[in-house]
Amino acid sequence: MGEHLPMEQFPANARAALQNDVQRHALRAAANVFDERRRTTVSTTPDWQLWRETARAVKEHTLLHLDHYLVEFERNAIARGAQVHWAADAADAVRILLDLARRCGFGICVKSKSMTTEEVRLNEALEHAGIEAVETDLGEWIQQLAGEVPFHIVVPAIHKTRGQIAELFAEKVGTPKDSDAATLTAAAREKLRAKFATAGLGISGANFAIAETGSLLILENEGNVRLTTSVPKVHVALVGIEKVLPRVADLDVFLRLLPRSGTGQALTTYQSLLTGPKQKGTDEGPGEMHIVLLDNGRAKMLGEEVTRQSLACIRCGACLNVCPVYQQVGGHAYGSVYPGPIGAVVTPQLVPLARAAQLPFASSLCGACRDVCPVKIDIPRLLLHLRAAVREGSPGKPAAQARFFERCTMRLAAFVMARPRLYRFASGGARLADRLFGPLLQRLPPLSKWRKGRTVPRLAHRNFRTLWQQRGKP
Amino acid sequence: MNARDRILQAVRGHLGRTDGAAAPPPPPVPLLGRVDLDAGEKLKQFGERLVAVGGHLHIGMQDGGLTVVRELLARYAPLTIARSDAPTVTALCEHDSLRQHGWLSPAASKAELFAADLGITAAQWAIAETGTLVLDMQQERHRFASLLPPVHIALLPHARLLANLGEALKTLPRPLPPTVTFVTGPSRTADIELQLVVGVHGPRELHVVVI
Ligand code: SF4
Repeated sequence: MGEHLPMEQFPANARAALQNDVQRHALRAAANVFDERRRTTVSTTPDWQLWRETARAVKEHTLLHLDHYLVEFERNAIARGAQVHWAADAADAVRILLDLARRCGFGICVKSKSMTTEEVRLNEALEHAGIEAVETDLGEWIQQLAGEVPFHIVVPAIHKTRGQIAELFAEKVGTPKDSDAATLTAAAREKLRAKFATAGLGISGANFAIAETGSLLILENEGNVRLTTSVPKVHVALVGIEKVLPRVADLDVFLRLLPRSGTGQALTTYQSLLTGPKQKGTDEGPGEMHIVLLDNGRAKMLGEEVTRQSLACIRCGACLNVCPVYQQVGGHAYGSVYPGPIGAVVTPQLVPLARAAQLPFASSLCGACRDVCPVKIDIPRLLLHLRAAVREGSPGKPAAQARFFERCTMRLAAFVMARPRLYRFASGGARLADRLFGPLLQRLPPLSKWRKGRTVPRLAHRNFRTLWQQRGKP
Repeated sequence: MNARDRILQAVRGHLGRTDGAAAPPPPPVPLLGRVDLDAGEKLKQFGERLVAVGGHLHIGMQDGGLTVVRELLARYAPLTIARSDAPTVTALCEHDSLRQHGWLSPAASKAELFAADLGITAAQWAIAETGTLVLDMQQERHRFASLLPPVHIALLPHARLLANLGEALKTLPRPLPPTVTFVTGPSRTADIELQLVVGVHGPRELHVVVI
């Protein structure tokens, strides 16, 4: 069972991850390839900006009228024979899914990749109840065999080398120690097929839920989603309430953006558009279809424009691939289900802010995530918003004290900078102090604290003003 | 209050909306793909895209795909063949020259379908811009025959070739069938060090026969 690292200790997790050169190199190489593919596809798509704007407008509209579309979705899904459940939080969701697994799982459930089931920690609950839950996406299965949580939201085992996976399989699956990717994949196919054939319940997520038809749309490359949603007698999908789209026609733009941003593909190999269970006993597919709509902290993001945009995310993973912080520290250091830039903004809104207080600072604010995001989420702005929220803290907490000190410092700086002579005097003093005691000052607070993870530049011997005067005006 | 009402109340509360408040029409989605392709160009583009994702294109317009399928069956020598109930597929299965193969019934058991060596279905539409097949469960039982065997042959009527995704979404019958499957190439994964491996959970080979 994969355990998350403590997210409160992001700095320590990150430092530890930086020591892991094998992981860092594997991750960076893979993330760069994905980003390269994304860039190539986007650069040959003249209408890319139009698509992004269209998608964002549709998302914003849907979120602003989310209650309307949720009710419409529910009505149409029920009309087609699906059973719709509502889960206010993770505990609700787990209870509903456990009931189903007990009733129809025959002790074994097959799962296709779903970050939402990770979010509610479903696997742990199923294991506790003595029900085997098998991840069937290859990357996700690798992580499950290794006893690890996913490292990336699209490519769960992105940080592992083939050699590491071959060793893992040798131990757990019984393949030869130096197997190549094709042999390992074939072994996975064989093992997992046996699971598909016996499982009574298939558990999936969904990329989109269509209000006008009550349908779910799921994208994939491997075929395990198709198996999960067609072979077992019962299918259940856990779907965040933000996944709703008004119309089938909206899929046009989202199916163009998501694969291109995620893997650089024009379209993933398979899309399953699922509307209710089978209608006749002789049809193919599950006899029961359940849809669990999950809130778990999403509704409260709707109130403000800045936080609402977090719900526009289509989980493409592009912001992870391009993020200089994620590329170095990897997915586990964040200690949360959603890592990388999107994780740094979503997690603090899903869990108590005090727990995730480190995450909004896990960014250099370079803005690469905003530039690649297919739905134009302004992640840096969200990070700043959340940083401010962390700084505000709650009254009486140390944050308030820090805020007082910070405010005094800033006021003083503003006072000095607004007075040229005072500024010249102060900067001269600072240069002298730096030259005489620089190394010592850096070891004392408050600089010593700031210096963790940063290099303090030494001040130049002659400042700009002096140089300017010496050269004379042009 | 149950979870449903709690969630809806929270959503409305944060949005400042009241129960039952209507929504204005959603913003329009403009036409996003190319539409100005004639039949020949569509077929050319479809073929290029299909081959680019590892599929194979065959032209079988003279005889409903009979010759092509006969050759493919000779090549793969399947012991059993899963098939959909599409009329074009039934016609092949019942043809004198193909009858000797191990055809399963379209309603074969899951165990038989899991063990089948090859699957034949039709496709109701295809999308030129991405090389994608669109299969409609209402019109044929395609879910297992196109997924479980390691080789999938699909018979695509030439007239059903559409230019782009938006057109395909518009063409889907309403009410929607219980399942519509979009297929672009063989099943693939790159989860192990980004090395492309085909045939992970679904077919490793996809042959599209245009009829
Ligand atoms: S925030 Fe944007 S780039 Fe990141 S995963 Fe979500 S949609 Fe993709």
